[in-house]
Amino acid sequence: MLRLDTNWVDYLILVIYFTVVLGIGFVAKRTVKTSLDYFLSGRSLPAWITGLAFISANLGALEILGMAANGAQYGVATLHFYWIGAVPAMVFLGLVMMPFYYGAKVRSVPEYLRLRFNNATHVFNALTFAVATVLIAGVNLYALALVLKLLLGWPIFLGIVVSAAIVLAYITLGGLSSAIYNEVLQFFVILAALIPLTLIALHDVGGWEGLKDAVRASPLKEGGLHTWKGLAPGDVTNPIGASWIPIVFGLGFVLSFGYWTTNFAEVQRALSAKSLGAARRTPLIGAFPKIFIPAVTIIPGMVALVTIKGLGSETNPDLEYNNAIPLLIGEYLPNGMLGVALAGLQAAFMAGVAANVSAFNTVVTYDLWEPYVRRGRDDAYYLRFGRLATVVGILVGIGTALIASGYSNIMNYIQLLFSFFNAPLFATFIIGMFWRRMTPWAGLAGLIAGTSGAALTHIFYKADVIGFGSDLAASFWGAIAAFVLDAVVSVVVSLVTQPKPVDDLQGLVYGMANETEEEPESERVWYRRPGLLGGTALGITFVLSLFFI
Amino acid sequence: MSTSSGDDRHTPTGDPLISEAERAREERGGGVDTARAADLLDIRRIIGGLLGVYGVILLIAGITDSQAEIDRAAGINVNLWTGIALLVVAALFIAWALARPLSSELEKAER
Repeated sequence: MLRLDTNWVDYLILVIYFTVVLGIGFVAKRTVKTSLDYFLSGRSLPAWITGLAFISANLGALEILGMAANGAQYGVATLHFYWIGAVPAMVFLGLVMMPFYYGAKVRSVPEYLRLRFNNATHVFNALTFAVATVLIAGVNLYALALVLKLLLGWPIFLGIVVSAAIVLAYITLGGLSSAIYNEVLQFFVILAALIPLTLIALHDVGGWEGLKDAVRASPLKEGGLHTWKGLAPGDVTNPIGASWIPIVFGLGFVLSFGYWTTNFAEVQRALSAKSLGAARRTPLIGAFPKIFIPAVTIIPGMVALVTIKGLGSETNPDLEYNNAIPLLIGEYLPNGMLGVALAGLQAAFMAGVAANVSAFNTVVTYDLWEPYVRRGRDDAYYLRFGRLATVVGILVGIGTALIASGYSNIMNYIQLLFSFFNAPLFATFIIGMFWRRMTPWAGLAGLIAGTSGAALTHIFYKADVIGFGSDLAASFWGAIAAFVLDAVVSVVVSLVTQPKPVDDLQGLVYGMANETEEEPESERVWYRRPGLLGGTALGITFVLSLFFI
Repeated sequence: MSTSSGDDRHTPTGDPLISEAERAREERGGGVDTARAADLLDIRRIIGGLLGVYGVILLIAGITDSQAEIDRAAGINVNLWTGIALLVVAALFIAWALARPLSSELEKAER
């Protein structure tokens, strides 16, 4: 019954999609190897391209299915992920942190750590990053297998293995170039599916007012319609099961700032901009669509809660929260639109796997193998090694996909991973950028302490030593523990070890940002000022928040 | 370039694409072909083209849809309306790409 009723029109749409993406790969590879520099190029991109890539990199399939799952499970409170979490962090990245990344001319996040601290910190971060990317690639594989299960009725394990094989073929054939085009294209295709789906779903339940009535009658009750009610510590009644402390500090400050400001895949997009101004505008431009994305993720999730009978059932795996969007697609979309939705979802998952696997092989090859294991070989050697790392990355990804299948809400699993890997990193960055006295060894000690802090929180939670309101609340607290431990250890170790000479910190710390070249006259118009863009984004977010208190 | 150790054949931590592009740039020294290639692979044209084709397919599907299929989507002919919307969006992207070609924007950036 859950199997979707696909016909040749849907397959035609799917085939067109992959033909276009692979076709771009072939063309780019053969004739225009040179012109790819317009996309990633040595810092020559206008902000609208990097902004587009920045948004697309984030609106993956995980985001969509996970946030819809949250919408069904927690209701309107899911908005915290966007309005407390993402938007302020994106503004912070653009306004405060970008001058250091761009000015220091680093190419990646681990590389900043090598310059600011030492090789040991660099290795530790590169290793944890490699593990994190493989785990996240696994989440994407698992989620794609879920879609294939709905589409073709395949068992999850078969779906995981087959999707992995498709992605491997796709990376080898199209290379990184088609991966990036795929990322931007899937963003538009998925919006082309989600916007009509949301409108139909809302229409079917009688508009926003009808949805509100239906949610009040659902297990979520009135609590599912508010963001800021029932958050008092000690008297937590909201559906997330967390007070405002873990939400504001854990999710908002630590997890989201950590994700948006230290994530290699995101920051890299901004680094390819043509000037510091364009680099700063990249996340700021991205913040505007981000404000409105919840309309097409949370609303469908809430509609699914009221229209799909038994959603969130513990006994029927087909009805778990993660399936909210696929179930709605099967419920409402006719052939044609069905194909668009499937193309968008499939492309988005493959983009997620491809992005993580290529980040994995890049870091393993250039941040680990080349500098520390086999130095000074020729280019062909590292290329071969990189290919091998890709295959290994995908194989390990299959294994980690099976771990992900143990979590019924993908977003909760992702937040747990972020609490391990991103939260301590953010503490190290923020202290290292603003406190010149922080020493190289404090960088390493802080990261180790922070990661252990998040791990211990998780172990104690799983062993029932400490109780939290929900899995999600446990991740938020884990992130706080990671951040605080990292900060304390960094400060203590800094006080007893030798700092770097101040001259070595040029361009890396606050107050010593490199003066980059002035922007051309044409760029300096009022509506492009970073402060104005950031302020406007925060203002819109604040006003919208008032409607959902 | 960055100040880190290692040789300069590729960027220290970077993406193979970046180093590939940089090497290629050294070899060619710019030219008409690059400009044409940049326009051909302009992401706006590709988005416009793909959404346009999807728009046509959905439009045809919408016109030929039976009443049963329309009823399924809460009584809205979703293929028809989405098809029209996609054609409009596609036209906007193509118009943008033609009005401000990427080749000339890149030229401006290099100056």
